[in-house]
Amino acid sequence: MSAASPLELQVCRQCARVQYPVREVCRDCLSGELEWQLVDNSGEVLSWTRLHASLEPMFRERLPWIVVAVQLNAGPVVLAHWAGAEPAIGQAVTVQAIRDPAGRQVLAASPGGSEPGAAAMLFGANA
Amino acid sequence: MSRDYAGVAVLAPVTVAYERYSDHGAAWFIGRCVAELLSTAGIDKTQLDGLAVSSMTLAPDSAVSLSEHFGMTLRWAEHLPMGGASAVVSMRRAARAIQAGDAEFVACVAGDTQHKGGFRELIENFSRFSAQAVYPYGAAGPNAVFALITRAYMEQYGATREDFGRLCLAQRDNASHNPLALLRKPLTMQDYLDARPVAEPVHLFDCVLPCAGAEGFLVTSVERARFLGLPYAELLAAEERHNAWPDDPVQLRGGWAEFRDDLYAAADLGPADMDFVQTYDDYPVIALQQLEDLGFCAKGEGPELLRTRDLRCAGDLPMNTCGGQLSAGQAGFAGGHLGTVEALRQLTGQVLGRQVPNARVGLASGYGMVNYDRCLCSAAAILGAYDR
Repeated sequence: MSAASPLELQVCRQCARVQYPVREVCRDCLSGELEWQLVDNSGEVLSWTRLHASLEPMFRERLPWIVVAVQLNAGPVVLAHWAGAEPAIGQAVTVQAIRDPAGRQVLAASPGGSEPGAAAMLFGANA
Repeated sequence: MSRDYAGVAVLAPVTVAYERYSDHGAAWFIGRCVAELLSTAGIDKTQLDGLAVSSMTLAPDSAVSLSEHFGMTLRWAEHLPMGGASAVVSMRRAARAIQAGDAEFVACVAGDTQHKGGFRELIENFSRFSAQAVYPYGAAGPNAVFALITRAYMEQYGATREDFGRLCLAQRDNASHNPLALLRKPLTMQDYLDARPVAEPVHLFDCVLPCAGAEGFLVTSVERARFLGLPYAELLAAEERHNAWPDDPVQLRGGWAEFRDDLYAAADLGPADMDFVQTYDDYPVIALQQLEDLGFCAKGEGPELLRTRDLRCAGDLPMNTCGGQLSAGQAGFAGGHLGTVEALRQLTGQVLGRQVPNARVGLASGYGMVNYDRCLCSAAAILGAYDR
């Protein structure tokens, strides 16, 4: 894990399980003592889809839009926006948190070794 | 109490005709279904003392609210938040109530409405995990989640779009005989392949048509069914699992694979004995996984099964014989009851479309509740005709 990992996820203080999506208690030991920690943000593509339809205008104006499922080396599977050329199953990626135009903190994946700025520009310079 | 479901009769398959959109509320569809169940069975409303309901558009109301809405006093009520697994699960619950004497007649109903423009809110807030970790990623609803599963399956087991097309074409052929199916026009492989992409690799005909409607059936004792002179099916075996295989990175198998051996052992039957199978077909890949996990072929041999077996009503492996959700439409949670109700139709000779020749034993499976990146509920029941 790089010292500058831009990915914080929920970690159990009791058993150190990293989990996602966010839960009220630990999925392994059911402890309620959870905290946010920087975690290894590397992983690989489990699958991906290219969307041609969306229920939200924010995405409709950006179609087609690629979403990936990533197996993080830290443990969990995350869905993430994709910043890069067409992905491939098994491809090494890094995941970081960015802000979307709606102001939500979301995850974005990009090919391993790509410039950290690539994902930040995903929604455009004004996002 | 014994593990088996001896003495339990399942009867009166009822479908409230599907509509693409409706101004009615879910209670209209569920209420009309209950009325139709009563008239089909020839019993009075006061005799119906149990009600199991599944619906996603009934909230904030529930089975309990409906007792007042319908003017019924119930001895037994159940509300099932299990989506497409609710039919099999409610049948299991109701069967135990009948065996224990807690109820005499239970109506198991799923119904939903579909208002114009109401789909987005349903999808956005389907679950807490979905609202935080799925919806913000393109707002594409279940299409995105099942596109991810479909691509992973295709890569792992060598399935092609043509394979899924074979399944969709066979079901459309079955639907062409069902007057209540919303999609009855014959579908060609070229139509299927040329359809517009929705969430690649999922294209238009891999998706169900959301609609309004209801499905239901009654559960009672064999004794009472005989007294009423009604054709019925017996529940030979049933199982359910929730959150099976939680550590599989992608859902390429469901809970069916975990309980299959117990299910068949309880019925003293095997997959080869099934005269038909009704799978939960929200997407072709999920129907195919059920065929594998329920032992109709080995894991990963689903694509080859689709190339060699005939899923049409007159075929060697009749599946989703009323057209399934892919052709009949998905009336919300009633989509999960569709296969079970069709199984009862086949076994009691009350089909809407084509009768599977000599249908004596069949399997209906369910699958429901996409919470994050997969559905959590899997269920299946083996049913047998009373006169088999």
